[in-house]
Amino acid sequence: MIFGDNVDVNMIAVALAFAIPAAAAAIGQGKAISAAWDGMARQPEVSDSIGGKLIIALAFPEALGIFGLLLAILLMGKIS
Amino acid sequence: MIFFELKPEEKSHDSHAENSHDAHGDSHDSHHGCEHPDYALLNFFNWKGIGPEGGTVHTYVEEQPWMPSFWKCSGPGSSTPMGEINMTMAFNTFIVSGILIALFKKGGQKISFIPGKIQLIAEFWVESLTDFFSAFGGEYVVRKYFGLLGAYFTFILTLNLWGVIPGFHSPTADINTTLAFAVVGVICSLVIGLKESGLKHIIHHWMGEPKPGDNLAKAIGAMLLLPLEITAQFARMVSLALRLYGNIYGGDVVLAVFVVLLADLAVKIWIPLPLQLPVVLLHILASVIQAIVFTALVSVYISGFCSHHHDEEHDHDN
Repeated sequence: MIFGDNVDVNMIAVALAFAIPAAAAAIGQGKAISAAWDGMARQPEVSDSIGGKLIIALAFPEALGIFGLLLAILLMGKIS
Repeated sequence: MIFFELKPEEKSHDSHAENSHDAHGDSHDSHHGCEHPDYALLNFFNWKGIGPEGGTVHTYVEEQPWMPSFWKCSGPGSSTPMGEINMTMAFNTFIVSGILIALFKKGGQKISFIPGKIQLIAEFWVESLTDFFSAFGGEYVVRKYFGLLGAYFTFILTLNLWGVIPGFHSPTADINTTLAFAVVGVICSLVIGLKESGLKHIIHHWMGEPKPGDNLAKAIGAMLLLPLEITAQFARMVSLALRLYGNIYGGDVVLAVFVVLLADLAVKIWIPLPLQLPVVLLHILASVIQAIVFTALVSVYISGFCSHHHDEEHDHDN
């Protein structure tokens, strides 16, 4: 066993349960941030308004990533 | 913050009490019996052999002599007539709310034209929060319902940052606290919407605002959109609760893992370095952002129910 004798292979599922939502959330947040900063560079005078709304918009992908983290922690509690 | 200490030897469980004479060999298995998710990750790392030799990671809330007796039950919770509650989180919440109530009561007690120190801080706080959240919910909603929104922001921010102080726990790292906040927030937005716009406008809004003669659009709205919107209210509660809980709890766990890993390093090189400091700063940043997000979302929900009423009023004025 590559992970040592004591470790369950189910831990891979735990790692993926965190990693896949985190990667997807990162892609989504990257798109949002990129678009918002493009807009800010074009029109610096509305950057305050865009920045505030960006934080709200970032909360939604963030929540999905966090659900993955919670799932991973719960799974880890089940396995170990 | 999840607290723990590194001990050379763990108190063996009841089942191991008989063969305690060879405790050094056997007691390593005993901490697998703890099934609370708080301990899972820490035990996992210890189990892998990360951490000092023979060290056992466990929470020490129940072992602090200076804590009051009803605070000593951490983890699974203590049973009350209303069910099991986590007394650690409840006690921390009471401390924080007591401090905040005392502070703001003192700030608003003697309102003078030339403000004192606490009144100045309170006025600055209220004014800057009103300006900040007006960008999300509109100035009308934020000024009118600042009692709810400002209390949400102040309370959640303090609760989030409370766990950074050594010796205390963030009550928002418990799903019960955040679920209570979320349920109250969504129900308040519904009640405010009923008060401001009325049930008819809300139903009309949820049906996709069909034109008066359009029966097809009305039927589709009633059959498809209305159930979706009603389900969305529950989804709002769950997502508000899980977002806050997950961020704070996840931050605590990451912090705990870093401390465990770095404690190993500190034991090896005999120099205790606070290398988890960047993670603490990140946790503080996340705490502030999550408080902002929660409050802004509640204000957006409220203004979503009020906007219809306001547009119409505006039209009438014009």
